[in-house]
Amino acid sequence: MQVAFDEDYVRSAAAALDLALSPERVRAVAENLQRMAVIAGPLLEVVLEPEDESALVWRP
Amino acid sequence: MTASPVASHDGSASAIAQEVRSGRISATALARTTLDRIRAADAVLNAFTAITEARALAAASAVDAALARGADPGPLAGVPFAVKDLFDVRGLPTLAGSAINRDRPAANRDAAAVVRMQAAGAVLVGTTNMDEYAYGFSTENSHYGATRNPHDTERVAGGSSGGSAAAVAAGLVPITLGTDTNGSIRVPASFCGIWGLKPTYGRLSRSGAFPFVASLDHIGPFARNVTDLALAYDALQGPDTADPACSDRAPEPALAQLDRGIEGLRIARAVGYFENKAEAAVVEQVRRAALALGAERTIEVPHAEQGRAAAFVITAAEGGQLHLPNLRERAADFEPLIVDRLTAGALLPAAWYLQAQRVRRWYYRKLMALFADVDVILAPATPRPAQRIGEEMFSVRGVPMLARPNAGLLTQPISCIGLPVVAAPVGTVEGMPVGMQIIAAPWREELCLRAARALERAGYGPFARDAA
Repeated sequence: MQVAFDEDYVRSAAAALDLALSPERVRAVAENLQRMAVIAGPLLEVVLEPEDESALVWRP
Repeated sequence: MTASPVASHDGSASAIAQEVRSGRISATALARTTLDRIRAADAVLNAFTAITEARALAAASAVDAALARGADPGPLAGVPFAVKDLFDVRGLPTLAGSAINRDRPAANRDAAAVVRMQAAGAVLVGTTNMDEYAYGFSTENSHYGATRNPHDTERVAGGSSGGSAAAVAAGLVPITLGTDTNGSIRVPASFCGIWGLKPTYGRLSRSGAFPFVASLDHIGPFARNVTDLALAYDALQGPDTADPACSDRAPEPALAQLDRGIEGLRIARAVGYFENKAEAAVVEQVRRAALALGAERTIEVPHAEQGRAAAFVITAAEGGQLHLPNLRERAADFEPLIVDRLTAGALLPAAWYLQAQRVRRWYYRKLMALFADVDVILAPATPRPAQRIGEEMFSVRGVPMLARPNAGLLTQPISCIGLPVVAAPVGTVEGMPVGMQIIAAPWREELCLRAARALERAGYGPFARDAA
């Protein structure tokens, strides 16, 4: 699930959400995403079983 | 009996309530004194965003009137309190530390927590400063200014509930309310050297509190002693259908249990992640406090790094999504320190967010297994003491890192799965206070508070500059 959070990723993801970003902000957001990816690393390494449900379980 | 405005109490909520209920001091005189004290001190501290003078005097007058007609105003009779400026206060815009929220209409009712505190007799005197939208651990807010740590005004108070912690630490009010998504009660409690309680997720109603990360948000109190912490916690308990996360459990009052002692409780100090991610001097203070509780045993909390990562991703994704409309329309009005972080969160892959929510349950199961063998876990609350205002970086065990997001390194693995925690003041490092987390299994707040009381009896208490 590793993702290359480069400026192209930011531009296309932001466009999909109708977010207009200046070139400076594209760069800053990409840097934030890269820092998040470092912290998220241990999370993405966890191998889950199909039975491992989300903590978000809807109770009507 | 003549009600004297002269303080004959120690400034604690319990003593104030006793004096007011007995008629030895009037709630109105006390409110006036408190308002004067806040105005004088806040020019330096910047802990408050609003002072609710007219409301405070009216509420205090109502307490005095109730007493005059023989009614009991409640266990917090006349006790001044303040709330983080994300709790709705009728007649005020709920700023949540933002400039954008100034344009929202004033709240037309009080948050549930404010209603409950007032029903117990407490008197609201103001709202307190915070990081914008609670996304931070330092209360360096470019719209409303940084809140200064009362023990060294060049340093941060912690965040995001920094104003609430500073107000209590400075002795301006005995009780304040804050919120904790990733550590926003525990980090400022640690930095300001006071007690804080983050109850179990779902224990206290968040109705009327501006959200940050719905699946992680908690509310809780700060105080300068454990009795006051329990008094406020008990006043806040009870189901509330207006908050979908709020449990329907009946209140489980903690105050009466405080003095049951800790004999027979299995208490262990967390090592591994919780030692490696804190400065050695902080770990040493926690080790000493653990010994004061008779806890020589150590325990490894499994997968804490994954728990922290899950909390981090959930926070970024939910926070970013919550603010997406304003990120589109009013990006320039956000706090410069967080706008790019919020935007980045909104762009995270859905697969990461769902992995985080699944890992959260997986991690919860691993940790619950620990509680078969231990009742209370002790761990540092912050990696180090408060950094200087404006300081971008700090280092932990020689590793440089961004200061603002990493102050919550040790709190995030705990709140990720909603465990109850008391943050306890346990000493100083570099002349500044540091705190310890007292952690228990879900719905066992009373164990955290009993251990906190035992620590208090062993001589631990709020940091005082003169005594340091």
